[in-house]
Amino acid sequence: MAVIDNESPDQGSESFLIESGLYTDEDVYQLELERIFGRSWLFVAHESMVPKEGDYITTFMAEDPVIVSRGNDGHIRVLLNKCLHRGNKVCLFDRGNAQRFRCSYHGWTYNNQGGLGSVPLLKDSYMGDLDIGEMSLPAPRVANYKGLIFACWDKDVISLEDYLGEDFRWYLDTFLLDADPLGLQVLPGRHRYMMPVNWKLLAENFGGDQYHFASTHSSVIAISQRPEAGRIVHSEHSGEHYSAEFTSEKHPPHGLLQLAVGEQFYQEDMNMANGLGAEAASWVTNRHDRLQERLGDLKTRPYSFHTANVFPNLSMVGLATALYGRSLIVWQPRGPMRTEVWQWCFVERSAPDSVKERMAFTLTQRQAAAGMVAPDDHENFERTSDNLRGWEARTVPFHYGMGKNSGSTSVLPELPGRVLPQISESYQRSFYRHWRKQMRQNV
Amino acid sequence: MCDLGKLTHLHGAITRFYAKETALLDDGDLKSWLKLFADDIRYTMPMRESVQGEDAVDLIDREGLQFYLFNDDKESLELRVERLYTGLAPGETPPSVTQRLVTDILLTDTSTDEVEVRSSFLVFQVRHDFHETIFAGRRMDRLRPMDDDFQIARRKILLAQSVLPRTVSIFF
Ligand code: FES
Ligand SMILES: [Fe+2]
Repeated sequence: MAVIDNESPDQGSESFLIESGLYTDEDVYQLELERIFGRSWLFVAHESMVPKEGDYITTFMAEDPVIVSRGNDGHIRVLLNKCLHRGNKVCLFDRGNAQRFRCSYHGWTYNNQGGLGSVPLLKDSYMGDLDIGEMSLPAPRVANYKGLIFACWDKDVISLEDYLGEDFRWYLDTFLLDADPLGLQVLPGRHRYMMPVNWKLLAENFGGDQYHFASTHSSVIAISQRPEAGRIVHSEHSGEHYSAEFTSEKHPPHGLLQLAVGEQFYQEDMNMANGLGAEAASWVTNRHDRLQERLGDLKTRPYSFHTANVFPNLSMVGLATALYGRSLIVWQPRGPMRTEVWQWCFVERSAPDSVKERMAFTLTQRQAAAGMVAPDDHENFERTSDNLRGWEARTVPFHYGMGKNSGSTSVLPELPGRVLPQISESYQRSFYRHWRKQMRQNV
Repeated sequence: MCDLGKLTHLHGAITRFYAKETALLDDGDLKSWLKLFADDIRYTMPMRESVQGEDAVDLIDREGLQFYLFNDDKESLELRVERLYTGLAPGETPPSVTQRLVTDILLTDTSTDEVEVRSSFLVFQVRHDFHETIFAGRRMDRLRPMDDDFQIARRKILLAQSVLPRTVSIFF
């Protein structure tokens, strides 16, 4: 397949022109389902979505429908939501609590650990010629990283810890997963919405494209000084900001944006928290104290990062301030030019109610299905996809050349990973380089 | 006037109020539309989920901490409108063409001064070119009589869709 095998025109090892076929071609897409989504750790749930035995949610691993079920033994499993008999769904709700999943077609029934528990007419019509004790719903490998549940269909995949990589895990731990002593709490009402564009353009945007913010979201910048905006703004353009990239031969590339360094960001959070009352202010203070402990004696004092992408299709947003909902987004691929977006809002469990409400409010108003940010991204991508219908337009590659000659050393070597200027296209280049490599592996 | 006469009169007044609101939205006069809302408005739209053992109809009344699609008060609605008036939002450039139908207007509680009203809506949105979307749903409003007219004091919206056909850049 040309787009996988060929290096792009005028590429050295540092490719920066990407052919449009990556975003339009059905054959490429089908191969991605096998080689990218079939072989990567995919985010499926957070522990707090299935707190009790019998709790489940249904979701997708790319196009494959799965149930994330906490069985009666307390273990979380991921089960293909497809009856072993003739392929019907066995679980029909978005979430709930169930002892068993009963297929409506002929009535095969599975327990909440995936095992086939009963089959109608097993004695009378199968005459004992079906060993249901051996049969269970297909289940991928599952791993739990500090509450984030990932699954992978590839039995030989590296461990989830190695997949995330030590450097990126430091940021995940420091700013998201170890931030609250009681952990994260998912809120009801996850968003699901369609975006008419290839999933890769969304994933690499969250991991590496700070460049677009000033143009695409200029309406948000334009209103940010208004008094009505006081509840939802944070400094994106003032203060010290970086991006960071985690690229290695050992794991796929991950990237993050708006790495904020310095005390100013804490002061801004304090100002907002003061507006919510003494309880909120003292929570933000304690949170900051805990962060100082985690940072230890680092001379560089980062406060937060805001967005990230975990290869391939898990993105994050909302981490910039203590008062913004922590959001996980999965870009579920739905064909070469369609993506179904799944987005959850989390709050830090120890926060007072006033802070939790503000967190959810801020996310809702900004990067969410009906917020003031996402519709503008949507529109750009829709027009981009429209253009890719053109025969001639498809021959013009996408340009990812920013910063390609600016070297690969970290600008803050004291911190893990490769810290880069805030605006760069380095992550995208790494993303596509890795994507091509993984697409070529035909074992 | 008998009770039935009063109710018919009220129903007619509310129908005219909604027709006026629909025209403001379809004409893109969002600043005038905002004036229909009381200063203490709460304007919410929860995201639909099918939860085993829970009644989907209850969702519109789900209160408490959640990840809403809209969770607005007067100030945040004003901010949303101000943003669109900057002319800098690609998601509404050029502005969407919308054609709304508001129907099935049912007065569900007339026992106090404020009237509880349930209605159905269909919004046909043309973003640009062939990008056309239908949003269908229901609204539960609390209308406050005000100088021969009404103000919307509470609006709860529930879309029929469980996967939104696109991101939302319009109002309901
Ligand atoms: S398809 Fe499930 S029981 Fe037949
Ligand atoms: Fe964006």
